[in-house]
Amino acid sequence: MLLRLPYLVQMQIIKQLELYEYFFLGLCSKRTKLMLQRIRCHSFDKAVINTFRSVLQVQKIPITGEKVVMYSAKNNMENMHLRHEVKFWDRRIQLEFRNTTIRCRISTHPTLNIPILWCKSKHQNLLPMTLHHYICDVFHLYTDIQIIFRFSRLSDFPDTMEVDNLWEYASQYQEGHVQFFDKINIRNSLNLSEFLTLEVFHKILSVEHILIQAAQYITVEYLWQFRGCTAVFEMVNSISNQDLVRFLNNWLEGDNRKLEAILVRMNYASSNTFDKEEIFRNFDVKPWDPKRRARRFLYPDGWRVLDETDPADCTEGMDIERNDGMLATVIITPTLFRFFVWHQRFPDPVKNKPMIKPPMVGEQKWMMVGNIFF
Amino acid sequence: MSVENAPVVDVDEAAIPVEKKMYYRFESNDKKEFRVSELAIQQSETLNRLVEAMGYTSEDVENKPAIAIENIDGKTLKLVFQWCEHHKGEAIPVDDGSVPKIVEIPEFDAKLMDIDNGLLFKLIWAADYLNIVQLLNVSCKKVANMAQGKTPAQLRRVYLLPSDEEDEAAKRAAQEAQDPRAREVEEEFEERKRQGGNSFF
Repeated sequence: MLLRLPYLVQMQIIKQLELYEYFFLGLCSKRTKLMLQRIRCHSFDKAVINTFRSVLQVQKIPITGEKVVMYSAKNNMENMHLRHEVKFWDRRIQLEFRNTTIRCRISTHPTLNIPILWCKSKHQNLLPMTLHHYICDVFHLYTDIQIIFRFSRLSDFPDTMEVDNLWEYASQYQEGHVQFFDKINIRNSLNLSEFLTLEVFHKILSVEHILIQAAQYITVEYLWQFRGCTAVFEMVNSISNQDLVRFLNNWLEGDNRKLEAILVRMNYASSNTFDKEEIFRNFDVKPWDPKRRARRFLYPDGWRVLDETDPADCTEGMDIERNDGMLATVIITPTLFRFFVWHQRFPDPVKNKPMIKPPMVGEQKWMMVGNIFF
Repeated sequence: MSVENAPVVDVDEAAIPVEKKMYYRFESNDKKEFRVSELAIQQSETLNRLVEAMGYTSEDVENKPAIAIENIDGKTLKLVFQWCEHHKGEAIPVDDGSVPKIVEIPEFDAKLMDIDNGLLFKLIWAADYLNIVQLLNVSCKKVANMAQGKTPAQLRRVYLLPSDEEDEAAKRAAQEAQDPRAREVEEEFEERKRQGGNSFF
């Protein structure tokens, strides 16, 4: 009957649905899925598997996702209070994925009011991937696999060896955690809460975009061994002015044609600061010449970086040029080192405008670069 | 934002001449007649424009045949006019799409819509056809509420949604009914493929 209603009426009904109801409706048949895709009253971009919260989210880039459904193994002790708090729905849901049938009981989360899908423990790692697959299909999203996880719940990690964007959230590292990264293939980006002690040739340093939030112990060797596109190291303690000189020399003498941006922020609690005069006196640096490059650097789609002023504004930056003609801009303040390599010296100004983070209630205005955040 | 707080078009009762307050007669497609006040009719943009265009006097309303509404049955129309009479004179919400619409169903409407699903869908059709904005809002909300706590299998039953297999079967049946020869050709083609032929001709 729903499918026979006029388009605008269908739209009005669909708009009133909760996200999980919308999702379940899309699972009813190919026609209901097409109806939802035609009406398109939600415009999300990607899905997120949040293993920390056992929840699947849909995300509008670069804003945090909205929760659609929770999942859990029926014997997961951490979620047991949720299992006994609310009675089960009177029907189960059955999902097919990778030639496996997963049958789940359903209850409603007492405060989030979203369904919790309870599966057998043997499916606990496959279920999040299954839900991700179906959510991408129904919401018509990019199929990028984005996962938030904690090492303390590594046994819950979804059944995949391929991840596009991986966010490790607030873990205490232990021996053996580095081995996790030996196995997994990160196709685009990695966000680590703390720096792991690893060899400088470890494949983590080949990830396209990396953000390390508490990189106190990172040394300059990691900077110059980074083989990806953008790297952001926050709360750094162990990098001195001479280290930055070594890094810049290394770039000038090398042939790295992939690197686009490196940002190093000094730990606010540190007594160390960067001294631009001391660093620049070692190089033939030149101020911005509008004939040689644009004012604003076109920051790639890496991890989101926020600042009170535009982090990609290179008006005050000093330029250095490599023998092969590659131009880089260096911007140094006492607490922040920014290094941008101009693969496009004059990017399309339409696509290269300063971005303001969509503000949360009561939040100050932040300028941002990058768009990976979930 | 609640419907009450939504931007509204005020119905200016003072502007309605006293002599125009009269009851119009409508007839459903199963020949049931209804008398509806002019103020109640204003809830329906379609009927309001219709009676304005007709320019009936009080005598016309009594002497001329009832206005036929040919695609709505009496049972549905009774609900529609009950709703319009109850909400007559109320402001009509304007949906400019600028804010997410949060609809609350008043007690009267909830009781009115305590009906089987078939009749509810007819009510929605009627509200859409007659352009009764708030009735459409609340009836769509009622239908949306029916999804609460339902699995996909249950949603299929509630909303009478055919499964993929049923859709396929219906499509095949429609094709066969349209052109039985086409089906024969298709079967012959499949048979030849099974026998190892790679060309139909």
